[in-house]
Amino acid sequence: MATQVESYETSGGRDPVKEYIFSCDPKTIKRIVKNLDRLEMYGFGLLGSGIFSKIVGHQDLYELKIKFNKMEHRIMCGKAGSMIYLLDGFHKKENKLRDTDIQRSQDRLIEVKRLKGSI
Amino acid sequence: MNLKQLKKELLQKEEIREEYSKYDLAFEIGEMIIDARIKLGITQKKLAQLVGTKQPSIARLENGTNLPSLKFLDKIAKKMNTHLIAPKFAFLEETNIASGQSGVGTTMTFYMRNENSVLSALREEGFTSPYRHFPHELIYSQSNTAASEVERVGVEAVI
Repeated sequence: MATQVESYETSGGRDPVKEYIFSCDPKTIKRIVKNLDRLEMYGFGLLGSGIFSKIVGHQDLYELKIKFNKMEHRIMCGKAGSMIYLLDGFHKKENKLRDTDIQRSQDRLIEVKRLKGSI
Repeated sequence: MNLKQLKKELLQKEEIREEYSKYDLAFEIGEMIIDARIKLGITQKKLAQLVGTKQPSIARLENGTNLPSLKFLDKIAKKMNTHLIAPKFAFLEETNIASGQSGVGTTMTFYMRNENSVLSALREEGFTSPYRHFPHELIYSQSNTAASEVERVGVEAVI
């Protein structure tokens, strides 16, 4: 059965990934959405090879990497049970992901897991 | 919000719909390489090793940033134990363009490379049969379908 992908919503009702995707140009949006379709179809297992990368040292946390028009886009994703949550989206400006960006996604994943009763 | 709902909202924006309906060769080739690689269960790094290049160059191909030469694509195909099918000029392909007025009044245009694939995509979305069907034009209806839903399906059928 295909995995289900959902975007994370803050307690105030904001959807950070949706907001980020809408801020991108249409060509980038097409690439992001195509890869999210693949994620829903295959899960992380088959995709963890250059498109989705596991965040080292963080269980169940992954990043979707899109490089287009000299811009590095990241969509942070997390696995909670059989669901995959889109936790954050941003334009990566430095060589490495910033700890604050990773931590924010990690915190959101923990929040989602608590709500879903996975932890 | 699930992915389907997200896509539906995105495709309500005209510039995004337009981009989805455009034919972008570099993007299509990138998609083909990704799908083949996933099917074989190999990483970008492994594919790069097989064809004698570096992982970032495979990543650029997959992102549709670079348009590879046919020679290089053929090399990739051979390393994947398959072969490349010769590309065609679009006007030599049996390409049909179908357009029409849906049951709820939305004009739909389907750029069809393969009528059967469009038909099966529409069937998956709940469009069971054309209510009028004549050469180069297909018109579908679906009860209780909002105009935006019909339009979205039309765009998705292009993909």
